[in-house]
Amino acid sequence: MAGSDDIIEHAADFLRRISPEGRAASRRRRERRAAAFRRIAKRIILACVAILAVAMVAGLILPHGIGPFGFLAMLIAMALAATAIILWSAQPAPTPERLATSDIAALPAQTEDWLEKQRPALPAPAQRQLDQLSLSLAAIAPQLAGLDPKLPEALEARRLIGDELPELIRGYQRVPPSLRRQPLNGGPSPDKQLSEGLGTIGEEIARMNARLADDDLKALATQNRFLEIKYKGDGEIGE
Amino acid sequence: MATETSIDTPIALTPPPPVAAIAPSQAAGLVPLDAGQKTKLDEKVEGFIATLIATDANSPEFGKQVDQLTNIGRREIAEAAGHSNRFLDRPTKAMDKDSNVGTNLAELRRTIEDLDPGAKGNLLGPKRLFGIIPFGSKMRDYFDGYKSAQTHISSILQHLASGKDDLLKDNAAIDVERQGLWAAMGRLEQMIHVAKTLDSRLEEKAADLDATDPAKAKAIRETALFYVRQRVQDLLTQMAVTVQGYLALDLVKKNNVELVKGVDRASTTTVAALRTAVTVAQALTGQKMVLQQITALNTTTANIIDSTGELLRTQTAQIHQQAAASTIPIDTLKRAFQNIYSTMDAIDTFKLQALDNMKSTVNVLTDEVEKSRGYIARAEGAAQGQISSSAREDAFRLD
Repeated sequence: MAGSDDIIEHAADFLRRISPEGRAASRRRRERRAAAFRRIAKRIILACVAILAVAMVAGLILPHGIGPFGFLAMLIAMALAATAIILWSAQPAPTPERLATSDIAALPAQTEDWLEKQRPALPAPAQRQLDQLSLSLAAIAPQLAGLDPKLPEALEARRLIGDELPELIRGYQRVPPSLRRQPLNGGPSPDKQLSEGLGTIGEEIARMNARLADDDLKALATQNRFLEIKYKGDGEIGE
Repeated sequence: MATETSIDTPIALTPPPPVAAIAPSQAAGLVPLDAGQKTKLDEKVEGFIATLIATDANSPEFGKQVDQLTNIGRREIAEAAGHSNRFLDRPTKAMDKDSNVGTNLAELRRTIEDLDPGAKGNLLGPKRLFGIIPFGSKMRDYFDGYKSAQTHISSILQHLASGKDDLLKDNAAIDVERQGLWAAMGRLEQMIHVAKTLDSRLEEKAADLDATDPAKAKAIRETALFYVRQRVQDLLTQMAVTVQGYLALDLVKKNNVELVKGVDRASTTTVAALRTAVTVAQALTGQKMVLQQITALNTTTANIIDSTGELLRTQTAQIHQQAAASTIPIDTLKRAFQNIYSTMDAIDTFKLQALDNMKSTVNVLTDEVEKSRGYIARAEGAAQGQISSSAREDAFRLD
């Protein structure tokens, strides 16, 4: 019994990984890692150039140059700076507690990271939903980035992405694995409940995304209509 | 505007009447639903009722289904309410914009009054130093006044043109808003149809069940039917407010259109008066007065005001002829100034009336929105109670 379950789960996992959402999610993860690497590399290069410049200026000012010890000191300073930058840039793994307090602009990416860490502990049907969720999180990220964190929309987004979503997943994880597939009092099983909950959250994120874009969509439509009224004469909209 | 043949005809600006409160009972049916939509919604209702009748009245399943009834159109109401929150401040904003145009018009009036030939006494008499010695010509001094005023007038007219653009932009925004509102009203209308059909069908079913299963008939009457009726009321209230907002937006739009007409006409009459002055100066003093700013303005005004630009062109010959041929050309000039004054008076009267209408519309709308908020708060409270039961399905969701 367990054998066939395992086989099905493996097959589902494989299907998920080759699905468009799965591939898009892993591509984004790769891109994010690459971006983080570039960011750190850039900082290290800048720091090294700055240290080199200081050493050169010192070499010009001091009567006998900086000498071999000065050169060694410069190399050591560069190594120290690089280590410090790497240590300082390493972001701590996001936890639900940290998600609740993090910056609204960084929230979608952090939630995505956190979701990725939870993936192994979730059942097969939820995997595909996780892919979709991370897609919609990536879609809403640029809009949240430009939002004033005190606006009700921002608070709502934070509650949904930073609080309610992690709470759902942790609630599922707290249920002993042996009970997860059993229906509760004739109702849906925890597996099913998780899947329904993720579906609701996904829809809500999509709706939030549409609502946040509403102003920009309207502004564009208004400008277009204004040009119509001004230069083409007044007609009813859509004519 | 283009149908008027002469700028001598006084302009008539009619403020649109205020929007009165709309009773919830009148609100339904304003947005037509097509037969296809109705059939689809009716099918949903029938399906829902069939399941409800088949469910044991004491089971949690029955309770769940009744919960769905309390949520009919929750999303549609929230959406429409969101719209009304947004447009509530629009009439007020529009009044501010009017005042911007109004400041420029007042400024124009002051400048024009300084140039008014009627206020200058007898321009034809000779100018005397200390009232005795003849010295220069009053007429020449008077026309010199135009040269110093032209830059100022030109800049006022440019401000008026940009004020007009603001009004047009406002109307564009209103058009977009109204389009969204119309869609929201269509969805509300569908939900009203669902709720009303549920009401009548549940009533019938309960009557049928009275004989066979009185307990279920009672459960349907006391829970399902009760919630559906409450929901019909909520939906109708929101619909009334939304329709009213829709009409209020139209009022703002019409006001803006009238005001734009007024601004156009004020600019046209001003330019016409200045042109007349140029011609009259030529006729009376033989001085060739060149108002460069105004010449430039002629072109820009003609571009800004399409319909009146044409009017201005045809008027040129006429003004010239009148001023040159008339034995009293100064009267032509006086008449040109009178045109500006009557346009501005028309705008002032219009604005007073329009402001009144707008204020009463805003007051009525604010009252109604407040009322509907009470309903919505109650409905939201009911919805909050059950949101905890994870993914709530919504039987009457619109696609």
